[in-house]
Amino acid sequence: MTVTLPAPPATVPTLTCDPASVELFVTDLLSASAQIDDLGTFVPGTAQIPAWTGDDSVTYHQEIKPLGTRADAMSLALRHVSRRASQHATALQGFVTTHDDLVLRRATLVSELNSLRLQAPMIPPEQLDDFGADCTQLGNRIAAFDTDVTALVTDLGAEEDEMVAAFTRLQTLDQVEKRYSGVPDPADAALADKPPTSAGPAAVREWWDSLTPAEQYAILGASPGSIGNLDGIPASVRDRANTVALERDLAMLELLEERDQLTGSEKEHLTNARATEKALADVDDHVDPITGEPVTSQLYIYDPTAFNGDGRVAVVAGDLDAADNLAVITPGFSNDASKIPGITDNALNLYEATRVLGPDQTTAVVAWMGYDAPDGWDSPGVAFEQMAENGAERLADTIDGINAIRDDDPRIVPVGHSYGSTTTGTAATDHDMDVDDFVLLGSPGPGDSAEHASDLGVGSDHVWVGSNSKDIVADLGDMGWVNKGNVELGLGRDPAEDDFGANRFRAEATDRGMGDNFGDHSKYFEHNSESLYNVAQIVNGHYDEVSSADHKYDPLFGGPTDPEKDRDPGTTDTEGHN
Amino acid sequence: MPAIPPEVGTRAGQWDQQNVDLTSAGSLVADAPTTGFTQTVRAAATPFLTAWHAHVQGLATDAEGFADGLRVSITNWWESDLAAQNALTHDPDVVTLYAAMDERR
Repeated sequence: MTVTLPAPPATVPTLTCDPASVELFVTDLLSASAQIDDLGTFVPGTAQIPAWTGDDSVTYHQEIKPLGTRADAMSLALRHVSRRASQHATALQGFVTTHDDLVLRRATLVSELNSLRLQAPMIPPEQLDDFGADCTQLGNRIAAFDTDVTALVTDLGAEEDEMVAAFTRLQTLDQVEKRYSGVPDPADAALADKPPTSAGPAAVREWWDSLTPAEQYAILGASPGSIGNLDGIPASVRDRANTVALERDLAMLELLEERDQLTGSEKEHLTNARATEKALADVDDHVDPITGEPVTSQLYIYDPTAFNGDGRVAVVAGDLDAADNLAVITPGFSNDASKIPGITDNALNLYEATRVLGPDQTTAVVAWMGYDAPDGWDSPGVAFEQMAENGAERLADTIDGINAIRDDDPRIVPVGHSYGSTTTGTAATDHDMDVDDFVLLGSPGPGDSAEHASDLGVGSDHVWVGSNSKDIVADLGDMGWVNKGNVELGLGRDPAEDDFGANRFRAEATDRGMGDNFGDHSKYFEHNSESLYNVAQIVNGHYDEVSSADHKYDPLFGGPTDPEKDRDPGTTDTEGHN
Repeated sequence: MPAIPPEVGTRAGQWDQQNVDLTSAGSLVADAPTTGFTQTVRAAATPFLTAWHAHVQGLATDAEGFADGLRVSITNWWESDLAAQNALTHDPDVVTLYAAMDERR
């Protein structure tokens, strides 16, 4: 009897590509398309001068018209190519996965084949049948493998041909105008049905879901600003729309900077845009401590000229559309959009801590600079609640928007730091927020409407307070019989006080200062700290793992007392190094 | 009241801004990264971007042309209208048009 060893498996061809880089290509083309679309809108609209008469006027209006028509066609064409490239990036990702799988499969098959080769000379005659069966079985698997390699090569080739055709069919202006001149923009009809903001995020979500993928992509290219900050639009879509807007801003403002033509407000605008770009890059540069994969970044809010130039920005570490647990960090005094990298660093630390302490759960943490916090010329606002009240409404809207994009019921935990805890507490008392827990860090008070933790609407056992005993800001809240709110001052009760009724957790820093100071006010998100450990456990819903601290109290005789001052701070591992 | 409305001056500035926006859009196209594509696709992407950079720059140039054209209309009116020159200190419309004769960007 003769047994034939199977032929070796086919070689897997090298695949050199980077789908993430193709997505950057897509964003650049989409941003340019949006800019060209604006020209198409400008010509028949604002560019018209009806009050101007005479020969010059006639000539002007006649000559601008074809430019508008050309811009419309070019915008549609460039958008088409960018969409095709986006589909190509998705296809490439699939090919990369298949390719990597084939490489592993081939290594296994080669190993098994070598093993049979080594056994072959030593097989006794009575085992030849079994050996032959093993060879046949391996041969069948190698044949199936070879078929898959051929399919990869064929499918990749077909996909490459489609992408090349998209480039070559719309390369000249003649090609563009033949195909798109006079073609209506699908974005126009889709946007005409967009519900007003007053309809609420659920209506927006319903509208968005009713659109075809082509209509949705058209809006991204024609009017990214109309959906980038619209509650009810999925986070991944908002991210793309806002990234398009960010790329446009950077390209335009950096050109003006090169020409030394930036106005004062444009300089602020550019500062905020660059800060946003840095914050996103910081997230992209981080890897998840459990999976080793890059952390997903999302630009959830991008309005860099809001609040007289202070700007309004929210950057997410994680996937807001899919994560199990969501945290929204609201910063406080002295913050604006230019500080978003620092706020995002805090969000990244919390993201990493939640993953290390809950590897089976996924997390998204929002660095939410979504309100006008006291800073710069309006710094005196830190002593009053008005800016917190304005911010509270925006925070509540953001939470409503997040709930609207999720069909499941993720855990949502607003985390307010410093004056941001006043904003968060006011949002809780003044608005109906569908969340699971509240965390108040270094709080000067959660607002006058919160006399007790139960006023925050989630039950006092779901209100958590981190108050470093050396944090001077955390001592500003009312204690005992003191109630500055009666004279329209202060930001409410000290939520770490026993009478407030919240859970106080340990939040001392190992390098805390000797006396009360401002430095300890900024240590709540530091890695390996008691504070970050406990906040992460709360976000994960691991209440039993939270280390509680004794409340502050105000005895009848003597001043307010904080038992935490006498306790030695501990350390934890929130980075997964141990 | 000048012979041409002040909106002509405003539009000149807006066309200048269109020029800036479109020039930057052209840069986005020119600088779009092609390194993520396979070699076969990259070979087609590169000439596409080169061609489109020129198309977008063409729009930017046209926009600048309209801005300049409007400024020429304003300048012609200014140079031929003595009454307008005399009204420069007290007619806000004339002030707007006079200011628009200088290209800001």
